[in-house]
Amino acid sequence: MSESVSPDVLDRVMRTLAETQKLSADKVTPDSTFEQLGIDSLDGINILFALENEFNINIPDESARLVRDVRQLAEGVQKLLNEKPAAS
Amino acid sequence: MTRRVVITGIGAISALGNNAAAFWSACQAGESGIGKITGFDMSGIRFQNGAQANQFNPADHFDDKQLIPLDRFATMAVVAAREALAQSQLELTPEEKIRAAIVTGSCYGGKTSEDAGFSTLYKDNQPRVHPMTIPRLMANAGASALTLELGWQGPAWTVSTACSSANHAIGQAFWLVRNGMADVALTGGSEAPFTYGSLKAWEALRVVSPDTCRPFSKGRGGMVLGEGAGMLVLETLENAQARGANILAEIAGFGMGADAHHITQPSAAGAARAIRLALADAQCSPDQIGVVNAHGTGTAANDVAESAAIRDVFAANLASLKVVATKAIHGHALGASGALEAVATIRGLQEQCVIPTANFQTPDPECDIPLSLAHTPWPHDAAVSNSFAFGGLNAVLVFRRFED
Repeated sequence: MSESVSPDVLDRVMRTLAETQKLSADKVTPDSTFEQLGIDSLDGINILFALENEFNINIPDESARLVRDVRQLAEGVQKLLNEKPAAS
Repeated sequence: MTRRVVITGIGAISALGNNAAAFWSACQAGESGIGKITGFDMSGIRFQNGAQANQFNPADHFDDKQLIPLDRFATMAVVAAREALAQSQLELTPEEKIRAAIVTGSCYGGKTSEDAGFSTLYKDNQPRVHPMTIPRLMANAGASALTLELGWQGPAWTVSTACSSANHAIGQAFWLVRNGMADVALTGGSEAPFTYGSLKAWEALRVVSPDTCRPFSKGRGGMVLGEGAGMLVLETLENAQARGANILAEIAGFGMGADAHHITQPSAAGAARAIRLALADAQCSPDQIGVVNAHGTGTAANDVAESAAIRDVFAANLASLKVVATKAIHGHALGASGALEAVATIRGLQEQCVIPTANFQTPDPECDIPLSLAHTPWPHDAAVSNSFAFGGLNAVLVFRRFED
């Protein structure tokens, strides 16, 4: 998965993650790993829920399971946005 | 006062049918009751399969008037209890009914009624809900319905500890009878978790398998929800022998504890501690155990932690142990699971056999336990049955083969 991520999507992913984790925004960078941010499996579920609402997408379990850092997360979101039918 | 406690009746409602014989027959065959969930528009849900008790229709067992205050989960508890009582042939005098206990387990209570009632408020903008909504949704509705049907007036209550509810209920009923607070008890659990709201909630937790339940198998995708009820009749050995009852097995020990670790991630140390407490309560050493009926949900986390706990406690006798995991057969019936697994454990002790782990594909090096994969004779004197709940609340039972 190596979608080119728009700066807006990356920014919104980082902001959503920071809000969900109650972290200050400057702690979250595109290269932060979940391990560095102290994100466990339950936090991950909460982040996916927040991202689904933020972007109005459905994130499948199997692709979510492989994500380990912020950049991969943003790439996954971008991929789902690209696959979304154009808004009518 | 310590008294021996025996089981003289069992009953089961499950995806495999409406009695313990149908349930056990499927267990022996390794036949899974998991199939497409019906009754809901599943198009917006990521998983499609569950173990619904499709053969169970409350109207076959109750008249219209009786059903007014009863949710599906409560009717299942009553029908399973009727089967267990019929097998035990227990008949109590008015004095004996005062010392007859009922302890049931349920995770959700009357979720079907709650979901239906609240959706009329929120979705249909109706101004009122059915007046029986509260009696139907209370988690103790099964226990209360049983007291009304049977006229039993002893201690009666309901335990709600998610996936451990039935084991906690059975353990407490066992201790009541063993310690002389009651002479007989009806105990087990029931659950009817198939509502649209509940399915969406499980979807959001991302622990439900997209296809089926494969306990301890490499590539397992998660748990699969089930529904049903299991009920046991417990009584003192003295009572059972005095009335010439047919004794199915002995219930010998109960252990419980909390992981104090994580709200959803299990701890192997907590599980092992509960197993050891149950063995100590049964005055049983690990090498006397021939079968472990695992919690075995088929989730990535449970099966690894439980395998580690089993390897820890039974390190010295893994070669003479079989692990049985039946959730691939009856699904994860939450607060009823421990009771259904108790029925399978008791039948296994009676027939001195182990049963297959349905849907198993490939061994997982992280789950290195002696998993039973076939219906085969397996002499054993005692068996352990594990339940580990979300929230880290563990409850383990020890059953013994009964010999005169």
